[in-house]
Order: sequence, then C-alpha cells, then structure tokens
Amino acid sequence: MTDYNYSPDSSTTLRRSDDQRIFAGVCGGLGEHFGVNAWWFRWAFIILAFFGFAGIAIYIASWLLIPDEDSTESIAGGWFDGLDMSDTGTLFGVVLIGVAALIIATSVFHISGAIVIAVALGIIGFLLYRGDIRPPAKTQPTVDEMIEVKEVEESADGTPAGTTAAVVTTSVATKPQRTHRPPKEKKPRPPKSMLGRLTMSVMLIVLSSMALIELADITRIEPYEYAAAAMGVVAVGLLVGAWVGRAYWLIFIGVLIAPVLFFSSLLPSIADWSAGDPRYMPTSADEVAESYDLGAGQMTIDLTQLSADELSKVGEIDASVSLGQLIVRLPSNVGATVNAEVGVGEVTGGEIFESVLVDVYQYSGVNVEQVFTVGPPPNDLLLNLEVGAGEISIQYIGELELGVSESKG
Amino acid sequence: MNMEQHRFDILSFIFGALFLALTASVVWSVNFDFGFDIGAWILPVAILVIGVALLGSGIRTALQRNAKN
Repeated sequence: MTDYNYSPDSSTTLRRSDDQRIFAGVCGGLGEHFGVNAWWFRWAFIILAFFGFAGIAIYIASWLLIPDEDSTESIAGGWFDGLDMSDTGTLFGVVLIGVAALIIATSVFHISGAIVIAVALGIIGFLLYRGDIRPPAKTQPTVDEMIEVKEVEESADGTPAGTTAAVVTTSVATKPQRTHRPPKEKKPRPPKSMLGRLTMSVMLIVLSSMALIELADITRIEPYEYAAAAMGVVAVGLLVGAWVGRAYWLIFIGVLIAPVLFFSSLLPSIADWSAGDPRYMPTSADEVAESYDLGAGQMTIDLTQLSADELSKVGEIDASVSLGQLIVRLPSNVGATVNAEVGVGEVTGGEIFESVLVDVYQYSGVNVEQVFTVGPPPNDLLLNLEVGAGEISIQYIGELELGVSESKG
Repeated sequence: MNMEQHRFDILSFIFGALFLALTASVVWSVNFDFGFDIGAWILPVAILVIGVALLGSGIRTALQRNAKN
C-alpha cells in the first residue's frame, strides 16, 4: 500500500499543504499541486457539501488518503500498511463495505445514489493514480531464482555442481534460459459433497410441512413465508458449507428465490385477497368506510359528492390495493393530507378540468413513501393510501395546490 | 458423497450470510412496524459486518506478516 510510484521529492507529488492550511491542508495541497488558488478547491468542497454532504465526505477521504507535506505515507496508508489487496478475503471485504455504504446512503439516509457512486469512483480513481490499487504484477524469475532451479535440475541429473557457474554465465550473457518446471501433480478430485442434496431435502421437508399445516387449517401461511423458509434453509446450507461440505450451486438457488421472496412480500395477505374494479362514491359522511381494501385491480374512491364540512367529519380514510391502481378523487376547495406508500410503482397527482385529467405530479420508484398536502388548508382529511405494486392516483377537481412535506423512495 | 471438513470457504459464507440477512430483512419489514424501519437496515448492516470482518482478517494477517519481518 505504501509502495508509491513516485518519489517524495518529485514536483508532481500531491501532499497536504502546511503553508496554506485551514483545516487539514487538503485544498492548499491541491492548489499547490495544480498551480491554482486554493480557494477554488475550497469553494468546490463547500458547494459539494450541499449535495448530500458529498464535499465533506470527499474532504475527509482526501485528508486520510493524501500524505502530509513532510510525510511519504497517508494516514489511511499507515492503517493498512502491508495489507495485501490481492487477497480474496480482503478484496471482498472492501467491496462489501462499499456496497453497504451505498445501500445505507441511498435507502436509509436518502442521499442520491448518483452522488455516492460519483464519490466512490472518485476515490477509486485517486487510489489508482496513487498506485495503491493496481493489478497484481506478473513476477519474472530473478537470475538467482534461475540459478537455484538450474542447480536443482543438474543435481537431479547427476551433473557435477562445478559446471553450474559456466552454465549461468552463458544464460545471463545471452538470454534467460527456459527452465523446466516439474509437472504439476493432478490433485485428486474431491468426493462429491452431500451438503447440497441435504439442504434441498431439508428445504422440501420444511415447505411440505408448512403446506400440511395450512391444509390442516392450523394456521394460515402467506406466500412470502414459504419463500422466506426456502431462502432461510439455503442460507443455512451455505453457511454450513463455509466449514463442512461444499455446494456452490446453492448460491444459484438462492439467487432464484431472492426475487420471489421480494415480490411475494408485496402481495396482500391471503385473507384480504379480492379482485375487481370497485368504485365507491359516498354521498354522505356516514357512507364513507374507515378502510377500503382490494387484492388486485383498480379501486376508485370518489369523494366529489361530499362537501368540505362532511369530509371534515370523516377525518381519516385508509385504503389499500395490493396489485393495481388506487384512485382517489377529491372535490375542489377541500384540503387533504395524503400519506402514500407504494412498494413498486408510482404516485401521481392530477387536475381534472371538464372531465379531462392532467397529471401535474409524478413520483415513481421502489418503496416510495410520500406525505403531501392536496388543496387549500386546513388539510384535515387524512388519506392513508397503500399500494403494493402499481399506482396511487390523486385526482383533484380544479387547480391542484400540492405541497410535498416528506418524500422517500 | 461426504461432508468433509475443509478450510474456511469465504464464498459460501458471504452468500449464506447475505441470503440470511435478506430473509430477516423481508420478514421483519412485513411483520413489524415500529415507525422505524429496521428491515431496511438489516441487509446493509449485515453486508457491512461481513465486509469489516473480512477486512479485519486481512489487516490481522498484514500485522502478523509485519511483526515477522
């Protein structure tokens, strides 16, 4: 890690500056290196800090990766001195930490994935520039190594050891002589492990037991629970395979189950399963149900026949569609707060003028969670809307006044 | 057909741990709602822990090598 390709005295060496230091001397060092005013870099870091704290992250990374002015080794280089990046485990470790950081940054802290990837690529590029990351060098046998091999071969042939020097002199003077390596011994093929078959047997026994429990009406088992059980057994099989037995093909089985597990978790509970295109148009507050549920199809809740006073009496409406479209139509001059959740799909807001719907708002993605207000305040009516896979469509009669207060996804 | 003990196999371990974390993450997300989505954290934290463990192992090896030299 510390074996850099340039000398500390080189004029092109990037170092953190002592003279132009405000915090860690990163911008000062960059300014000296590129021959520009350090404030250009300072302003760049400040501006980038407003984009998901990218400027702060890059500054800290630079502080750790760029050596100090009177040093040849960076702070991070000191931590990982002697670390072998060609080691599979270490490389996997670094990659997994990067993947975890990406997932946490994008899905938990809702920082733009593009910024995180850009920062990661920037750091990788910098490490490549410094020579910290490079492909493993092909090692050429040294002359000493060739002499050693030659001596071994000759002593095996019964040639006197005294002749070695002459042979070596000749080989060095002309070109390196090809040395014959002893033929590799073929490793005996390990006997087939029964781990894979054992794991699949356990998986089938577990799944069939679950099915029998459900058929016996002991308890209801959801589709995702079958997928989770299958995935759990495969996972345990692979973990056992880390120490005992071996069955790499279980990875392929796991990869096949993963999307089934994900999408089955978005399906509705079997108890709530229903299908169709129901349309509800209550004409008074008493006719409004507390909740509306649909398994698959298009459900429309048309509240346009209700006045603002009646809707304020309703207070809260829950509606969910597992697979399909959920449409809520609101009358003009009624304010509502919408709490929308979509597993996979989109949330749209549209205006209706003379029976024509025009979408003015659209947000799509995976695990979309949005809280926003529709119409004029006070937005007393609370709409808790949920769609597993599909679309939530808010249709407003008149000009849509929309304010997004929270957005995830 | 056998089940012989062997050297630690990193590939099996990583995929086994990831699949287990994925299962836990989905089951948790479907069944529990505490207003704080722990399910969203399980998978990245599991990946992070595995990554740190592997990197830690590499650092330990490097330190041992340095101590020998």
